Amino acid sequence: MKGTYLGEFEEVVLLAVAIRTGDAYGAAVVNEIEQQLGRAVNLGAVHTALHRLEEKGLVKSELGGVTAERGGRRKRLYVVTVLGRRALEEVRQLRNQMWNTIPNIAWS
Amino acid sequence: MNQSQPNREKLPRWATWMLRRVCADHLLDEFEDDLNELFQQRVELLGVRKARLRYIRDVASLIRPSLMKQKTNQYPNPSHTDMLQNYLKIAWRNLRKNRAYAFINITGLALGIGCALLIFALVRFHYQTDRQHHNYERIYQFTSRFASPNGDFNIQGIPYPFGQAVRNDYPGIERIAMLEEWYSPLVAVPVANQADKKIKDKSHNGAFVEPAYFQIFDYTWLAGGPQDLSQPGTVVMSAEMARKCFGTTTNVIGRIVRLDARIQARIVGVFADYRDDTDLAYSIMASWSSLKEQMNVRPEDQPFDNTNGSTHCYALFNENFTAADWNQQLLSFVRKNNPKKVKATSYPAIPFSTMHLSPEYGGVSKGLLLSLMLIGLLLIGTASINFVNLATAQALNRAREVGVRKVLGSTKAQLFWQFMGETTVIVLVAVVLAVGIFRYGQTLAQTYLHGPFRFTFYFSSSVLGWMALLVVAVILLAGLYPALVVAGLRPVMALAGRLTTRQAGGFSLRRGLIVTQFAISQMLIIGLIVVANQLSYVQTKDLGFKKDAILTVSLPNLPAQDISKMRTFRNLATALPDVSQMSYSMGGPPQSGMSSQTMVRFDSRPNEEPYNPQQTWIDADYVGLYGLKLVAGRTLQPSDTAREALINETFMHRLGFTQPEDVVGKLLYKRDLAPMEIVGVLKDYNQSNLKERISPLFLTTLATGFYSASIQLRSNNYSRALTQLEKAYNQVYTDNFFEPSFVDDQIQQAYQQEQTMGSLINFFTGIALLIGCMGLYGLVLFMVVQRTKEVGVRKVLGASVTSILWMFSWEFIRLVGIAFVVSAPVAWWVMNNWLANFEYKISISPTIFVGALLATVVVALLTVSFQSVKAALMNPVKSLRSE
Repeated sequence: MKGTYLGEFEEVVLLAVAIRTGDAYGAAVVNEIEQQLGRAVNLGAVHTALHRLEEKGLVKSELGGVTAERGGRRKRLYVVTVLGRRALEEVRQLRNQMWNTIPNIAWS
Repeated sequence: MNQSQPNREKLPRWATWMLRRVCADHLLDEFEDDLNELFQQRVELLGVRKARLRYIRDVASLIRPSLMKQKTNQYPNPSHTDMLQNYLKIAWRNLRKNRAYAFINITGLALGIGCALLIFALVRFHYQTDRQHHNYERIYQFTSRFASPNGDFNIQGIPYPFGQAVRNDYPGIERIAMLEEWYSPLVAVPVANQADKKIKDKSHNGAFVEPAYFQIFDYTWLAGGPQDLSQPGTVVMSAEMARKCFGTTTNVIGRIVRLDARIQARIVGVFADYRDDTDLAYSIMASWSSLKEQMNVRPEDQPFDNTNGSTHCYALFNENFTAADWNQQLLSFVRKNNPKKVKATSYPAIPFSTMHLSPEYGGVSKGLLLSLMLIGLLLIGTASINFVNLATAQALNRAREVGVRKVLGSTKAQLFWQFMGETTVIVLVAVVLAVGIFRYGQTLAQTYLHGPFRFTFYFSSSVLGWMALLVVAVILLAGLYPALVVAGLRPVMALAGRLTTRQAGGFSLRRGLIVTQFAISQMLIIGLIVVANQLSYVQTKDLGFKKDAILTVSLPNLPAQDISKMRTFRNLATALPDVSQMSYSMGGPPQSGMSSQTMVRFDSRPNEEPYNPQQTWIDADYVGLYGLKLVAGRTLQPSDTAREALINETFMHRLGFTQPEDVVGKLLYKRDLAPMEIVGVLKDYNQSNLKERISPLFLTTLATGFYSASIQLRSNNYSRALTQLEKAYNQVYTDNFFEPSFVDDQIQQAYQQEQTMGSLINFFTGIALLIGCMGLYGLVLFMVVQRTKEVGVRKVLGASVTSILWMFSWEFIRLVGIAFVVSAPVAWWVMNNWLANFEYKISISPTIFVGALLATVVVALLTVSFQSVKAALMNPVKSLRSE
């Protein structure tokens, strides 16, 4: 767990996949991120991130069922693995830790 | 989602194209789908333009290395060589199953390739002659050109004082050397207390040469060198000659030999033996200054207008000096040295590299070499055609195998290479055989090819290169089409066994190929017949003089012949019972071409005649011995000096007379001779070979100029006559060598090049025919097997044996006819061109063509009938039963 470093964008992508569980594919993730963050995201960046996440074992992908809209081609659906979920929680925990360490005086 | 349709057109297509080119295959679909979906959404939200822009940005972002990596296969990829073992096994099995077919193919290819290699080596030999001298590009030879109203007359000969005249005046000429050829000199080696050891051989030629010659041409010296060759009485020889004389090449320097019984010479150098591919084949070379003893006058003091064909002049030009530069200065040179002949004579410089291939200077004609190359290519063509025919016919037998392979997943490319591979194996085996044939042919060539046309094989790396090129070309030519045909067989039809010959390789192509083969054979046969006819014509044509049972003996090569010795020899010879007549002359038989050109004055005309008549010396018995015919006047009276002359009809016409009686009695004037009275006019006879026209000629008695004795033998017992003559000769001419030669042999030799060409064409035509027949045989064999059932049915229905034979033969006869239509005009045109070389030629009669046609028909029928007879006699029960 300590070995898997999660980059910022990768974290965002991972979160988007988690949000869209069950229907998380390339275009859907793009839409989700754009919706949530409110800024334009390149498809290539997303796919690269998904690729890297899959390599690290934080997501896994499967070819989904046949749908009409893609001309009979199957979508590749991504799902967050247990490892991925743990990584997300760890990051969140680390952030919270840092937040808690901020002295009260600086922020009130 | 029908809305997606109209929007699809607004996609920037080029971006999609780029993506497809770059992206990994397994990811491509995903990306494209995502891109399209996003595009649709954005078109509705942001409009077309913004959607397109985002599309392009997305594509750009997808082009990155991590997404370009192709997915590696889980399963190991088969390499290209994995199937090799299987292919080889199948190829071997096939060869063993169809032995006849394999044998025909391999032998045909081996013959074709072997002969092609021979021809290429022969042609290369002639193109490489004398190329080994490192100054090759800059070496030139001076020649003499005489202009006459009939055209220019070029010879290699150069006047004796030429070298001296040129030597110092022209800075562009780096080195210049004169060389006088000396045909088979008599070399006598003094042996202590015994008679001299005499060596004389037709194959050993000598020369008188200036030392600069060795700076122009490359010679390797085993001992001594050419530096001392400027002194008179010195000689250099080849290692082989030294071994013949002394048995060794060491300690030869300083020893003495006597040349032609007159010149005493000291050996100053021994050079390494030269290879066969040179035209400068002189085993022994004496110093140029020794010529003085041969001719009794220094060469430099000889006049300029006396040109001897065996005197050559070689030069090494500077880098910047070319033949054109010399030719420009030619006019002033001739004016200075030979002022009287300025109009008619010139001495152009010819690059030495062109000499060997110029027939007018005694070299090999390029046309001949080119025709041989063509024949070589034809041979390869025939052999390849054979292969293609047989292979495509055999394709049907492999159909089932091909069908199975295709079903199991073989691609067309794999099948193609499999069959190309089989072709390669067959060709390689054939090449091994071909090398054997090549070596055999080489030894044959050594025995049968002589003179300028000789051939000796020297190995060099370019030969290997040629061979590799040839092999690759044959493999491609022969293997390409059959491999394509086989790879294209349709598996369903093949497996069901329902493929017909038409689908496998187009019968019309096979027909076309057979027609080509027949056409080639017919052209070669026609060529063969024409050449053979022309040769026999020139050899049996009545040349205008007798030639049977006459032999010539050469007299010593002296500047002035000894008259009393000649008289003695004549008395001895005519006393022999086998000798009926004898005559002395300058040059032996009338067609020897031994005469020299000169200028004369006629009668009361103040100026010399504007053309150069030939002159030759004969004695009073010459006309009688050779049976020359007089059209007017009488023959010469016996005399030792020039008093009377005979002229030939051509000369008479050139003088302007039509009636021979009008010219008899007039006087002929030539410098250095007394005025001669014309006492008779001879009917024209061929003074040289039949390629040339007859020149004007006058003959007179000048006994000191005789070099040959012509002896007519009475009986058939030549050996006895020869021994007795030899004894008589050696009695009179003790220091000379008795060298007899028969006149009809000499005539034959004049056509050596044509004869060689004739035999070469014979040989290769035979081979081409053989290859063609083998191919035909194989094809018929196949056809018979194919049509076994058809023959069986026909026989059952009552066909006779002859009708079955006819069924097979008719097909081929038709093809022969078509081939003839193609080949006859081509052959006629080519042969016409060749015959134009001859002044006296046969006309190409239609019988030659008919003969060629019949020959090919007969050969084709024989080949076909061999197998078809077997088919016709087969028991129909047997052939129909095997279902």
